[in-house]
Amino acid sequence: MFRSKTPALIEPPINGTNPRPYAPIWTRIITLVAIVSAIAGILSTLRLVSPALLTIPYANAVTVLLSLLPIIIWASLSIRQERSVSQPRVALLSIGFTAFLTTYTLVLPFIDRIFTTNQWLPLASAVDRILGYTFTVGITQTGVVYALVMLLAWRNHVRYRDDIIAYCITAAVGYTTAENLYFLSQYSSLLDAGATRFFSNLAVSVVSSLILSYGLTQTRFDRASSVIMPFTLIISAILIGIFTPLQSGLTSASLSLEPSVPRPLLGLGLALAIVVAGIAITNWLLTSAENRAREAETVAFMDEYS
Amino acid sequence: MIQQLTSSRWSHVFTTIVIIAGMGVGFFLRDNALTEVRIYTDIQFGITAFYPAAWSVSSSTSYPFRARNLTERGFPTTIQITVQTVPDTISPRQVFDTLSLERLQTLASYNVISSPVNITLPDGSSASVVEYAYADSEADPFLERIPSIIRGQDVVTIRRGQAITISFLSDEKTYDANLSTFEEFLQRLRL
Repeated sequence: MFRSKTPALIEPPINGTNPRPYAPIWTRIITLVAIVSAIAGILSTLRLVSPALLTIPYANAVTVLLSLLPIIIWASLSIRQERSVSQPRVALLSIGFTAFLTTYTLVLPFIDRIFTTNQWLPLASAVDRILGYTFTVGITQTGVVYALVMLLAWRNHVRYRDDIIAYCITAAVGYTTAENLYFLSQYSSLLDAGATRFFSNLAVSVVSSLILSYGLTQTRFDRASSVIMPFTLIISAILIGIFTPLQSGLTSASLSLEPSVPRPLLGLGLALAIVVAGIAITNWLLTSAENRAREAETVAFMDEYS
Repeated sequence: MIQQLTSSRWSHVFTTIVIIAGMGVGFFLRDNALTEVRIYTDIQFGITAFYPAAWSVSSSTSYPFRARNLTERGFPTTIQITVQTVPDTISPRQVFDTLSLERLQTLASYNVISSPVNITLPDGSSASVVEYAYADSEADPFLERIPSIIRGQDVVTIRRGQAITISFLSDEKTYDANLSTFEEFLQRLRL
């Protein structure tokens, strides 16, 4: 649990602005994505320019550390920012670690052994792969994020729109970190390939969670139709379903008689494009919704006192 | 406010239904893909076989049919049919002995783990089954891997002056799980 150092009082308006008593969320998301993408980009470039530099002692331990990086960065940013405000989001840690533990011990073994995606999806046609990943990995991942936010935060810890985004992203970061570690427990990976994969996992998780959080904010704070939430959940699952085969298809070496090599930078570029576009679009959607709600509140307030 | 609460409640009900239904679609797609079969016909040897659609099929001069599950990690589960011209007086036991002598020279730690057992194939003809195991090591010496134990069984039937051997090979760890695929294959095989 976060404990705020400052007393639970809202600061008075300064220069006509209304200071927020809670920590900003978008800069935290952008910082997380920027750090993980920069590390993946540097390691992938080193592989192309000077592969010898990547031959380091304890490479496996460093790869494990890279897999844990999303939750480490997110936790440190969250602790620092939440402690500095009067109304911290107290359920962040519990959601993050519950997402991590649940995903590693239950969800990923369930996908691996019950859905057995590795047995039937890699050789399926493009459409079948998208459908397959959407209704197995996609729906499970979005379902887990939704369920965790609903069970651990919805009733008692959601006060503002940003709270929902923060809790959704925290669940997604916990899920992604567990996914990274689970991958390393199944396969060995080179440093740069691992970093690229971990960033790709983070990128798709962040964007799908932002879409999900848009649905949740609409349900909680606006008089949105009751189909908005399931619709955004399906869109999140489809995004995961499209991205998963596309990413592996772009990154892997092409199957031909000509010599071909893996193209990690292409996969990295795709992940970066998706996460940048995803953050920009969802930020615009969520900010517009918040502005509309504020305007509606102002109009209601003016009507009441006029 | 009440309307908003009701809408929110319905929203969560619909979302839960979508998650459950979506996972149901996932199971349906998985079952369809895993149980889907394709037909293989060889007019020269008179073989009609139904094999799992996700498996890779090949043939060569030494075997008319081989299907392998290349999606598996490590040794791919394999079903192979070989046909040899033999004298009419030969017995399945002699075919097994010949196969064993060949494999003792080519496969590491080859061991027969059961004596021939007579069975009846779905078309009513008789056949004999022998189980065996050997150690499989990576063909590429640069790929460091501990050898895995491969367990297999040969079903031998003699007809029209030919010894037809239907072999099933799988990693020992996944043998029992994959055996049902082979039994399904045998049920549908036409020779």
